[in-house]
Amino acid sequence: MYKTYEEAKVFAKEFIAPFAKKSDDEAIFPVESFQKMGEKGYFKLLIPEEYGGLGKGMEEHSQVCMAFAEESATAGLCYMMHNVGLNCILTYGSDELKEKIYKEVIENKKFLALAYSEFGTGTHFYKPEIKVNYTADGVVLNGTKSMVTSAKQAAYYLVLIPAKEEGKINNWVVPLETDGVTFTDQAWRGMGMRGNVSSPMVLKDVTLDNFYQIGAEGSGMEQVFHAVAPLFIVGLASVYTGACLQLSEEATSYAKKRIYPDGQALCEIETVQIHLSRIYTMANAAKQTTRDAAKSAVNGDEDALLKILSARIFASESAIECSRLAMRIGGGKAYNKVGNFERILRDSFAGQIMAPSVDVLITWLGKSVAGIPIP
Amino acid sequence: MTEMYNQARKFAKLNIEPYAAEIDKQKEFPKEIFQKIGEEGYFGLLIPEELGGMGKTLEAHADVTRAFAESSATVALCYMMHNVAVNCIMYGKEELKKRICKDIIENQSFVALANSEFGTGVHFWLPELELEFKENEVIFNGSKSMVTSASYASYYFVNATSESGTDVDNWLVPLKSEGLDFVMSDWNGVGMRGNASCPMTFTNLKLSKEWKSSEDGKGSEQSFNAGVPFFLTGLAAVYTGLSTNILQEAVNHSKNRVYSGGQALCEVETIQTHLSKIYASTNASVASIYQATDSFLAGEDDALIKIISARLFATETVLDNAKLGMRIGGGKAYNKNGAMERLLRDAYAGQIMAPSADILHIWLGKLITGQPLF
Repeated sequence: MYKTYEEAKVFAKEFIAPFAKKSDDEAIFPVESFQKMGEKGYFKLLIPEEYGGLGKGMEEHSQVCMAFAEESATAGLCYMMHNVGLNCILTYGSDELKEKIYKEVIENKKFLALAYSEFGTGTHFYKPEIKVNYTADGVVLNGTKSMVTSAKQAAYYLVLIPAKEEGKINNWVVPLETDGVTFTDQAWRGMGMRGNVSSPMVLKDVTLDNFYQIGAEGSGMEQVFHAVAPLFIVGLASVYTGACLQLSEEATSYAKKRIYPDGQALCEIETVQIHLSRIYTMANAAKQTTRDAAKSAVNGDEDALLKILSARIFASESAIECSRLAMRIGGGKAYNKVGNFERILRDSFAGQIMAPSVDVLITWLGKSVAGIPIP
Repeated sequence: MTEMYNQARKFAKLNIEPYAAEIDKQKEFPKEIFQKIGEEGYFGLLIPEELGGMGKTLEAHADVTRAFAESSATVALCYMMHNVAVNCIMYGKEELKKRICKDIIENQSFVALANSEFGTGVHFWLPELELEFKENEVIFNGSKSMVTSASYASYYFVNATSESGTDVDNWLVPLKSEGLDFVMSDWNGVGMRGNASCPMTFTNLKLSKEWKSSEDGKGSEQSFNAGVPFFLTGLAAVYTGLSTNILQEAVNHSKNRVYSGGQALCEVETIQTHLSKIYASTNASVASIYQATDSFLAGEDDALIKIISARLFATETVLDNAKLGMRIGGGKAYNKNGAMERLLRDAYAGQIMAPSADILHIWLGKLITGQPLF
């Protein structure tokens, strides 16, 4: 039932784990890991089989992101954004656009990224302020997107722009090589998720043909809610669940290995057992609630959105709590950056603030359970 | 707030705050700041007036430490350890006490604690340092694992098994001793990066018995009576000061961060709730310290219980406060704009510093049910 997950775990141990530390230390994109993902077919996970993809859906998306994040949250995060971007194109894109992007992904192992957030609107990324000039053939874009993950590494970037009709938005694809597209170097100093190489993307008189518009005029918001949000939010739940699972595994093995001079292992102490138990419980609950949310989305359950939101909130908050306890178990050694705990701690802190942030999602969930429309 | 606190805040704003970010970035001990602290007389805080000090008590120790920590937790931490060592020395042998006080007052020397070891970790009262007792001197071999202010303090307050082997003695090891080395390359702390914490090694280090601060085999008593209350209160003060710093940073950010629509972050209900939580727990942290110091100075039976709970409360709430601070700070804080992520990293030292929060919870649980600690 979780064959994809088990396979992805094997892949992650072999091709993600070896680069996790270096990617964090040097704040560099895990290029080698992504090359292997492309070779092993992970980029085409969601592309239908008739087009040469693996034809998988939400559940496998979640499993792969989780498995990748168990070795490196930042690798899991960048990967999951690719799937989200691809999902917009396969759900709403024109046949010509699909054909081009599928070919790039399947044959040339290219991957996608999202360029949604802006400085002015912060976590409220669905209100873009970028300047658009609509011409007969397409658009001319000017402005800046604030935190673009996989900056310079991805071949295509999805951007949200104001639509012709005020108050509506559109979703477009911007190829990396387009004239006028630049990335601000050295802007990414994130405390964690350092492999993301997030950076502002500057669009200066970027001219795009209508070919690159995804879906009908003014359909951006619909896409955000139907193609982006479910996969993105489940993806985040999966990534931070992966962080919890890694913490559980590493905290347990550390507690077994750390022996005091009198021969007692750390794991024999009741207080430490309680910490391990709490980490395990949270990690397990995060895993189950994320799987349940993914399944619910696939089934089209009425309360799927509630489950998705709560999985993301639970996983993000648990990752911070699990890493706090792991740092407690790790003691002075972990505080002095021995082992992986402090990296996972730093990575975990991204969860609560990434758009849509935990604060925003909590109010959405509160509204949803009370039957009030969001956002 | 007390006059002592206000004075120390004024000092910290002027002499510590401007350098806090740099100390963290450079991972260097704040030498110049410690010089100023010395010049201002703060090293003599707990030294009796007849020996040239200020003759202050646990309350002043907490006030000054907390005031410093509001500007830089790492500076406050190193400073408070000096006070702890001084207070132990005041409790110890007379001759050594006079000699050290003179050096502190006249030369602005300061002292550091060297108690924890690799093997025993946070259980620092179980030293494994090897001592060979000769007629007039003692030879030290072994190491201490995390010595704060390493190589910058003039003296190190070291605990070791006593000659009889049944208790612990406390020694003062001068920086200049032959056979004393520091492995500074080992320090790579998540936070508290100005601490210069690192292993300290003893290789056939010879010390005259004059450097023993405790009476024979009375080291544990000295540490528990003079050291522990000041150390735990000092930690409570450091992390409470840090919470106050987080509060200020969070309030400022939420007022200055204005969305395109003109709404400030602090106008959002969720943010108001976060700010309220940070304020309430910071306030409770401050109050717990005063309750603990009052209780100690009044000689109440449950003073230690109150001190431990102040230390636990301050170190656990500062993590929650930092988490909420990072939440309010959003992507900007995560991208290391402003001080919030530094404050978060500093906060994480609280739960693991010896005696760790885990150990103190067990102690507190035992104490309130009338059980012996060991």
